[in-house]
Amino acid sequence: MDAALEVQDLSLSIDGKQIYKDISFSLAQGSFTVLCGHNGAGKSQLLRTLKGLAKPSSGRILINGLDVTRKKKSRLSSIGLVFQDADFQIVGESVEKDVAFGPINLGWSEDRVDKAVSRTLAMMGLEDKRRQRPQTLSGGEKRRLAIAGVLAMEPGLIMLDEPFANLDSPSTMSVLKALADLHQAGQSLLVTSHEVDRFLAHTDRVLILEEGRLVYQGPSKDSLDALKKAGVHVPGPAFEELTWLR
Amino acid sequence: MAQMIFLTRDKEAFANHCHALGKLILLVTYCVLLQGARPGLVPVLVLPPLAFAIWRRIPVRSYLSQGALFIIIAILMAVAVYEETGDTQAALYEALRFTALVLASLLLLDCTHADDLASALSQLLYPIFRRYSFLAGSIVQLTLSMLPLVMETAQGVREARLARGERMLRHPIRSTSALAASILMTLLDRIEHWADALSARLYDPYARRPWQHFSWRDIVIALIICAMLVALPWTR
Ligand SMILES: Nc1ncnc2c1ncn2[C@@H]1O[C@H](COP(=O)(O)OP(=O)(O)O)[C@@H](O)[C@H]1O
Ligand SMILES: [Mg+2]
Repeated sequence: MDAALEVQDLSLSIDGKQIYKDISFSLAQGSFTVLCGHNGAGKSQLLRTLKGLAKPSSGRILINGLDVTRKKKSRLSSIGLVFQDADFQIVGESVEKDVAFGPINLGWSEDRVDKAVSRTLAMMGLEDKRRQRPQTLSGGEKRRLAIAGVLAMEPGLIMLDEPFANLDSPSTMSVLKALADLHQAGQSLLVTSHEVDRFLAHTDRVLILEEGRLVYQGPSKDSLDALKKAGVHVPGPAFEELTWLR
Repeated sequence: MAQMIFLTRDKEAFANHCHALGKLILLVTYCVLLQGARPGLVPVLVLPPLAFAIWRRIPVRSYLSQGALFIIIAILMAVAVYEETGDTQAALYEALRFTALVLASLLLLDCTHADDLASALSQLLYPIFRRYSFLAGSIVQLTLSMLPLVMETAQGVREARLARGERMLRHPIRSTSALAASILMTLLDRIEHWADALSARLYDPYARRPWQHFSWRDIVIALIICAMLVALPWTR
């Protein structure tokens, strides 16, 4: 089976400044991958490029085996991106309108939009907030709303930029639970994070980015040493204990 | 977090179910009537929106605190008119006229969703401007949905500056212009993120909008508009 996403020798410079260079990796269908690295490593810029919001300087991007490096439109519709700051991506006046925004832009029928909205809100545990204003949601709920807005567009791959940043522990748990459920349902996921405390156990693969270079990639189980070496905080001794959910 | 008065309150009320186009034309007609009316009539013309506001039980306190900007503009207008004419009554009437306009516009937003308003505008302009009418609708919709972002940014920046010990009153002009500049910078940054979020979800400003259907309620609105138009010559 073709990879959900394959990246070959991807580089990006902005105004002569090298943001990242020669990045190559591939994501298997249905896999949950975490992209680690310190602040400023280039994680967010890499996600923006993959999504189609920035143009790579060189390299190739393949989705399901098809070269889409020059097809911004097809990347925009087949890869979902949840931004770090949930507040910036709320565009609807109510929770359900916000979730419907993407599907409507995709030109779906009213019926299909309604179904997608109900299904995604149920998956993200937001059914009872349908008519609420997004601004009145808690941090964790807002983040789940942002995920719902992307999920409703049925992208083959969902990327999330620092989904656990600035959340208290119940909110972190609710977001992680949502991601673990999506993974169970076979959704391909790519998540960036500067720390892997208590969620590494849910992931399949680890990529480590350091100053724009991919310095490690491997199965999550075998990555503890590499993570420690890269200075990513890994407190617990055992891989299985790295979870917020228990 | 700023409270958002500009957001529609969903209610099972007559006004919420009327076609946005009818309400929009009603507002425009009211504005024309109010603008052209002789000063003595202004206090009378203020009554309908006031009555409607009371009837809808608008959240007065948040309207007052969030609408402080408009109140300041109204006061400035009154002062300007007084300087020019020396007539206190005329100054009061001008301020009243402006306040009534703002109130009527806010009431429209209180019972009409931004996207319905946008699609009503496209529906109105479509016969002449074709696909650009959808762009006009998008601009209105984006502007309206950006208002909370603007207000929230302004409040955040102001609080951040106060928290770091700025004393607005000592150098009011310098502080105000510095404040405006930092609000603008923050806003530009936020708008950039927002534009990303819009294109990430495939937003197309030229996309055709669904049009609302008319109902019996809109006949009532049409009758009110006609009545206002008939009354127009007598108010000059
Ligand atoms: N718009 C931009 N123009 C120029 N440089 C940028 C821009 N955005 C980010 N950078 C730089 O790119 C590098 C990577 O940033 P980013 O992808 O945000 O890192 P991370 O998400 O890993 O913390 C940083 O050094 C940052 O200064
Ligand atoms: Mg980042």
